[in-house]
Amino acid sequence: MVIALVATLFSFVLFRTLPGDAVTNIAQSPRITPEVQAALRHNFGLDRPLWTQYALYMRELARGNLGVSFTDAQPVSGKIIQAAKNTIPMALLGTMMGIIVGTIIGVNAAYRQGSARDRVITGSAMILYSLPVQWIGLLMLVWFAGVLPTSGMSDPYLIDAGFWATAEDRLLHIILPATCVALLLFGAFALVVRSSQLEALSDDHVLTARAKGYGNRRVVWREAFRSAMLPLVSLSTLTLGFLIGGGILVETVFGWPGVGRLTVQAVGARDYPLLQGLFLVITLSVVAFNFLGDVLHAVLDPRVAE
Amino acid sequence: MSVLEMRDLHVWFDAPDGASAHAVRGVDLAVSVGERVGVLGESGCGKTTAILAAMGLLPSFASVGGSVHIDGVDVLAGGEKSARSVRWTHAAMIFQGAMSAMNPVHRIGKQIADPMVFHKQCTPSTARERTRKVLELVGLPASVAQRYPHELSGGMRQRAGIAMAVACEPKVLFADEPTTALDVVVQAQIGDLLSELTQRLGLALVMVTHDIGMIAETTERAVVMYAGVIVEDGRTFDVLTAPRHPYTRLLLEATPVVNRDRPLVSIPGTPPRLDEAIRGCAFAARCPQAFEACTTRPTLLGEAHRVACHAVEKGRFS
Ligand SMILES: Nc1ncnc2c1ncn2[C@@H]1O[C@H](COP(=O)(O)OP(=O)(O)OP(=O)(O)O)[C@@H](O)[C@H]1O
Ligand SMILES: [Mg+2]
Repeated sequence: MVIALVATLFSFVLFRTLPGDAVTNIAQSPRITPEVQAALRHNFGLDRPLWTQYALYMRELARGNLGVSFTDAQPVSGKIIQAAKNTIPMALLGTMMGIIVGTIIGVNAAYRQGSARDRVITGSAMILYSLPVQWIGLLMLVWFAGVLPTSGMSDPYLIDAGFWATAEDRLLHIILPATCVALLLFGAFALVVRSSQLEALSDDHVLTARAKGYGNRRVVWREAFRSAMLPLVSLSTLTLGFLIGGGILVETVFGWPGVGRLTVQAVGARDYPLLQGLFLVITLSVVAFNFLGDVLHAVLDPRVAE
Repeated sequence: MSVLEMRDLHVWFDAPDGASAHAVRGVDLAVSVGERVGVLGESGCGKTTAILAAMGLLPSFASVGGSVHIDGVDVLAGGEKSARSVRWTHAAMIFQGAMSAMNPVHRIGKQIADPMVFHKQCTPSTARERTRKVLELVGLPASVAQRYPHELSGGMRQRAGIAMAVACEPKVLFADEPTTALDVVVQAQIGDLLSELTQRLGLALVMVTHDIGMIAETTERAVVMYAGVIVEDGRTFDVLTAPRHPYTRLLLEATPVVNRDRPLVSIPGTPPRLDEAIRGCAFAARCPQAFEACTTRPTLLGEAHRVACHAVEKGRFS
């Protein structure tokens, strides 16, 4: 709650200190006279003192009203919800793939610590981890252009298709951006899993598990990994919080109409209400996922629950 | 009949640089049904290594020679598979740190019951029933099954560890310094529990400990190890009151005893390096009784009270 309040104030001041405002762009058109500009500014409330603007914003916010966009006069909440609906499945799918692949690879590398396989895995995870997003994204664009849809989330010419055709179209579109997210995350996930798993494997209770006669798979997964999951859980929830707030680069590269791209557009247009709304939602999402992380910790590790 | 038989057991730890430490150098030990054996010896003499080798639990960079039979099964012959077939159902273990020896994220009850189900000894519901019984057996309330390891005191945890180890009705129980992390009062309780329980269940016990009092109270036979070999083996009472090997004598003199007016001695010198071949008796360099014959390796000789020492054999001292 406090965090949310601070976030509103911060976003309010921050965006308003950017040079230019919503009218500056429009003003580049020669037909917009200074009178029209002034009228527009008055309409948007931009001529009032900052504090009055903030007070008004907070009053409306308390009523659950995020205001309307400066660019198309649509309610901000509707725009954000629409964008979030697009971002969430993509981010979730990508993160899930990243978690699954990262976990399998990290656990395997830890099991064969020091072997050639471990070195190859660790090395490639490090490289992937340090590659810039847009570069991976662009490479994927180049490689898969023509094979898979590379932009947007649906085929604009697919009109009135049946349920299955639509679902298939969506799925094809989501593959590349989600895979890109997965590739970005998997390196970090694999490294985190590997190191916590290495630590767990040398724990005494793993020796106990082996003494009990359990097979390798059970020892590695149900005993060692089960007690080594916490760092992965923290990292995943943290990442998801930020991703929902928009994988800006990924969404830009793949033209995914999600929160990240909406943010870029809003910044370009100096669309204060939209930006503030986005900032608030992103903050809340990070806070919410951190909270989810804490809850999961307590569920997964009884020592944390106290 | 012996339930545990180690014959000429050797363990080498291969270091990455090619050097290899010969940690266990030919251990012969036969333990019969229900027999309680204490293992003594200073730090690093290979006690833990020998026990882990017997259950096939050494890391992969360790190589093992000789043979181990547990309840008739040749543990080392069939690799991991035959070792797994005796683990927990024929031979179980109690570890030093009962805290770290349990999985922190599973309930005690689950950790006791899971192996019974895993080894197909019974159904999950029977396993829960048996878990209650073994908890009672070690003097813990059934509600402990619902607890996590960190919620118990050290003594309770070690009791739970014992319950866990006897749950699958093994024939042999290895205990590696089971009381080291506990205070003296609890140590005595755990010792009592171990000796009572093993007698009641007819379990053979192989207990490694530095606590001579524990050995005296819980075991009937004592084995003394030095630098990877057994140097003395006899009835606990005999070994502790009339030690024959010079090392055992010094070891006992070096052990503090309360209420006894006796100067504490320490054994001069250090144990031999394990990464070099040891010729002759490993203790010769530190032994006050050493003479020419000690350059060849002595064998364990004798009937009920066996000693590996040329000086004893030749009757040079006794
Ligand atoms: N995992 C290992 N890797 C390399 N060397 C080892 C390993 N475990 C034991 N050793 C070596 O083997 C020798 C015997 O060790 P071990 O742990 O069996 O001694 P111990 O008699 O149990 O001693 P303590 O009373 O301190 O527990 C030691 O010299 C030790 O350095
Ligand atoms: Mg030890």
